Amino acid sequence: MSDFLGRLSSVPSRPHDPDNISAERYDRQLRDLISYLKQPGVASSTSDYSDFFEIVSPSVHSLSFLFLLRFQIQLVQKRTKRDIPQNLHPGGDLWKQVVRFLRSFDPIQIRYAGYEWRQLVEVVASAAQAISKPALAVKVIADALGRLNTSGMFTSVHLTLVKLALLSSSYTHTLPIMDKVLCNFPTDTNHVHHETFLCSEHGSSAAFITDTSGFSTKLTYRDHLQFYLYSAMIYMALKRWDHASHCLSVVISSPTANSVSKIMVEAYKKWVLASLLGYGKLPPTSRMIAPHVTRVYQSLARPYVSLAEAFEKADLQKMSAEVDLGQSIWRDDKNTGLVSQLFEAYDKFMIIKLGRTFSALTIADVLQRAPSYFKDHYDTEEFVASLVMSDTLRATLSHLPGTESTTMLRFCLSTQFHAFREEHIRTRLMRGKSALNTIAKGIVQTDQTLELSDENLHFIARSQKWNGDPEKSGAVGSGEAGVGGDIDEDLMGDGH
Amino acid sequence: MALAPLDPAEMGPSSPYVSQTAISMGVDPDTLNGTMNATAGPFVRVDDPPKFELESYIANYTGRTRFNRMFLIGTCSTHLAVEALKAAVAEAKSGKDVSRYERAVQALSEIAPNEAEAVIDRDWAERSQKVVKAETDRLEHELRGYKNNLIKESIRMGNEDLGQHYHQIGDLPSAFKAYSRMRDFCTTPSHIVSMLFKIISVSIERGDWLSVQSHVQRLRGQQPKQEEQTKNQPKMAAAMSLSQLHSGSYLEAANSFLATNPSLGDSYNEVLSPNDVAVYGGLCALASMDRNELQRRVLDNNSFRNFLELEPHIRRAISFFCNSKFRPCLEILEAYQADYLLDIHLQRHIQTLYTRIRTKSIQQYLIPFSRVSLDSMAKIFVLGTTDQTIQTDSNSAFVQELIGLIQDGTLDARIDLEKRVLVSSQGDKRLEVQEAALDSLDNYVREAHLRLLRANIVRAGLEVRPLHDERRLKIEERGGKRSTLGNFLSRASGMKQQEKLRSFE
Amino acid sequence: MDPPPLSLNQLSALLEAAPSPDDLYTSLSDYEEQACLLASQPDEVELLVDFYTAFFFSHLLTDQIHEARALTRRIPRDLLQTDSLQTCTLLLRAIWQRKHTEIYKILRELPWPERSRPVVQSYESYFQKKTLKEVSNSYEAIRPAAAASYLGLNANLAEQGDTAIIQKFTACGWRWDGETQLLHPKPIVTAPPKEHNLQNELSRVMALISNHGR
Repeated sequence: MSDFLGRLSSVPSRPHDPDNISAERYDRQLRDLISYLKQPGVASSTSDYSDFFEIVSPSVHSLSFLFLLRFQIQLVQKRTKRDIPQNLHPGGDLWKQVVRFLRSFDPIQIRYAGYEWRQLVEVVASAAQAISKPALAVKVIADALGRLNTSGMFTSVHLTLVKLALLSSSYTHTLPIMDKVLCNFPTDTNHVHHETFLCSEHGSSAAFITDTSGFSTKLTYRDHLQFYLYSAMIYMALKRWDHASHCLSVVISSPTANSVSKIMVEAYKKWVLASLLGYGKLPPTSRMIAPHVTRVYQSLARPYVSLAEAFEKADLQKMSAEVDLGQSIWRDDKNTGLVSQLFEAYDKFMIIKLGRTFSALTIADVLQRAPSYFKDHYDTEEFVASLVMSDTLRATLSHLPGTESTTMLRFCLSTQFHAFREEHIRTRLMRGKSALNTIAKGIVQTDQTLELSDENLHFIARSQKWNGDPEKSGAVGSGEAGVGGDIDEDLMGDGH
Repeated sequence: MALAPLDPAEMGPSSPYVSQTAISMGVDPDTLNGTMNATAGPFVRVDDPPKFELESYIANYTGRTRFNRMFLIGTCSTHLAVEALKAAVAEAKSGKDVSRYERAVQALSEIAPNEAEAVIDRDWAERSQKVVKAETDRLEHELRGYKNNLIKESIRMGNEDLGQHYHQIGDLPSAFKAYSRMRDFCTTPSHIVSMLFKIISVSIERGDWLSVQSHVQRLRGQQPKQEEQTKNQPKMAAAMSLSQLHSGSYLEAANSFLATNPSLGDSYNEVLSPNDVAVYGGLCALASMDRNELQRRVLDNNSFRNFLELEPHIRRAISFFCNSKFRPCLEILEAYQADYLLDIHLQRHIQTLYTRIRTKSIQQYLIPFSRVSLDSMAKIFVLGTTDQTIQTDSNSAFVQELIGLIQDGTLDARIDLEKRVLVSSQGDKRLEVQEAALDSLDNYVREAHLRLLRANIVRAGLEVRPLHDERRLKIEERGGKRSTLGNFLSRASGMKQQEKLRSFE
Repeated sequence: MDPPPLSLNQLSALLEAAPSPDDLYTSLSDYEEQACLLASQPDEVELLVDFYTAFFFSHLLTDQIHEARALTRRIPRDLLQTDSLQTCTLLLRAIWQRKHTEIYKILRELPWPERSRPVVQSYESYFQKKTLKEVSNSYEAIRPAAAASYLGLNANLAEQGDTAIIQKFTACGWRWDGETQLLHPKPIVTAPPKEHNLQNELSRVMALISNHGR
């Protein structure tokens, strides 16, 4: 017993290690610990481990704690013959320990037990769903994922998280995870990092999240497509249209091999709506979408396309007709809510557009020139005022003297907001810069692994029917990737 | 009827033009050859009296264009209808084209049935038809004889005679064909030149402007002697400019008109007069050139001055425009609108030309200002009224016109309906650039992310694949019905599937 | 590390401490898990209603209106039928539709549980302040009645030119024009929150490419 405890607490997490041992030794110690914990005899099926939970610290001896949890869960499962026993349900004592662990584990130690860590996360997800309270798992998983810090690496846990968030309508907790730029997928990169150890400092997570590390299940294309579709749906619920439409762009421009996924078609439909709601028009689609894929979208999402046409042509009558006509389609596609927001967005963009023709006009003029569902003056003024007050419309309002209540809408020259704007521009620049940094890092990383693994390239070249589009400029990306020369050119180019 | 009914297929070269006329308003020359009335668009009705006098106007022209012009005036102008149609009847009766006679009489009988000329002269018509028929037969017969004898020069002349005959009787497609057949039998350059001019003349009457252009090009390809060249240039340039005018290339048309040598004189009166060159050229230039160009290339153009002297008001309009006196310029044009609407070549284009000139005036007027009051603009651009106070109401035609110009991007300005001014958008430029730069940064980041993801998706072998897709779909469908995970060690798949995910309302 | 168990006393203590909106939101959102687990117990209805009401207001105080809407979806259905949470839903709808008069009416006239009073009141003043800023920046001239209804003051009195109300506005730096009977708001300019990692070089470049100092 005490021997067991001794082994459990033999390898503290590095900040708690007084000796400051070398990475190599630490690596060996951790590997030893793992193989000890994985011995068949260690977990004798009779004893109860709950006492250890108070003795072993989840943050200092994370690996040991993780395995204790496993032992205990297996034990209880066996005893109760249930997948999710009572005390693993949210609020149960075992659940509390799991949550405690996921909130405080040491991300370095956990690198040696990715598979076990992920299973624990999935248990949390299942347990919360077992009592139909998925919300309980969202924050825990988001925190755990944040702790692990996958730095740009996509895992199946990401997908689990957004699914739960959508099911439980708790969105904000996922934002710290979703707002991070993801650009990598676990691949076989073990031999690249043969010189370093799992516990070493790594520039990228590709060193410890690989296809064999267990942090993610074996991914299929559906996983990342669903992740971005669900992320987009969360952003849409929060009305962050630009993020939503970017996520949807990822889905609809995903590389394909002679087939289009249904998820992509659904994403295209939502992309049409999100673009109209966010920008008032359909921006050009990414040039990376193959023509035959575009044709599939156009034909399968026809009602959406004609709806967008009516919207863009400012043909309110046709738009209403399209909306009525497609009621059952919107309902079947679960897009009724988005469609119903189109009218307000239409009015909003009509009024914003007025600012390009007029620099000042009365509300009566607005009413006359932006035909919509406004009933009267008062209605219009209220709507315009809400746009101005929420900063959607850069303009000011003025009540004019006199008994008849005339209101003047003045679209300001943006210079009047000068002080504001400097800050605003700076913030946007900084945001762009940090996103760009992440991506540049991702590119360098991709570049390195690509150069080092030729078979990868051969595989890619074989698996993609290369129809090297000569007019494709590949301008983005190839610049930063630099070293790879024509290899990058091709990769970053239009390899559909 | 003497004329063989035309096979529509024979209209080959002019068919694109036919479709063009169907949508354009007004009469075009092709409808005047008696075979295509059905395709003519709605007629233009001109109620204002023109400034010209019919007799002196028509004296400028010779040949078939006289009838065509009179007929157009007769059918469009309420003022000159009777006079012009009577003259047209007389003109037709002096020739051999029976069908145009019949049409002129028909048109006259509709508006003035009591006139003596409004009753068809059966005697004359039958007699003429017989004469024409005999003449056709004779010429065809002669030509066959020449062909048998294989004498090139005779065949050429035989075709020429036949072509001329067909042209005179108004059978333009046959005339075109006969003239075209001359080509193989021309032995000297001057034969070729004369043949090409004949073809051009028929093509102009048919309104086949593509053919006019290609044959003028062919003329240019000939290299006759110097004096020939100088003699032919004005007519070539005039024919070319007409075709460019009709195809809507007003700047090219202006350039060609400006390049027409004043030695043209009355030499091309069967097509157009030097006055026409001044008017057509002047209007095309006004519609397509800026103030500097107009000054330099039109007013200071010594050779074109000869033409402009014939139509001093055009010269005045252009110099007003150059001096930024837009109202008098527009007033002159307004005053002559009726004249131009009764012109066989201008009728279909005058509206477009006027709109362009007007738009350009507004643009030029605004250049020096950052803000202009709508009232002062109305004083210049609202013609035909003296009471300007009501003209800048936000629903007035003038303000609507400005709104249209702003919305289609012609004017870079915005309207302030409060202070009743037009504000130039210049002040926003710097911010627009900043905004655009930031947007492009965002787009760049997004695009880079998409591309990087794409590369890594491909690297990880995660492209969308057909077979795999179906298999997985089935697994997931089944998985969706199973409630919770089977075993702790298996993948937790109790996730409810996509269909459970609610949409947002 | 885990917060003390959720109870009426704990909740009262938390609310009485009047923490900053952000802190309030964070501590309440830590309790959501517990609340969620309590939901099945019938004797905890009072606690849950009070908790969710407070949690709802902490969303409003931190301008998370969309998440507040999501919260109303997460709250168990039977709880949502209680008066207090029904009023929250009404309030949410009024805020969503930007019906100022209605918002004030709900906040002031509808019954709120005793324990929630402080958050309700602090939201009222928060909302008033926020609206004042929005109106100040949006209107160059405004009729007193309109301004009053935006800020939840008596619009009828304002229309009659009640000096007390006018004075409230002039106290904010607004100018009263007695001749035109219009108020002229004074814009409230606040810079957006500065980011810590702002680099000097960037600021300098920005200063160069923009003619800020002209």
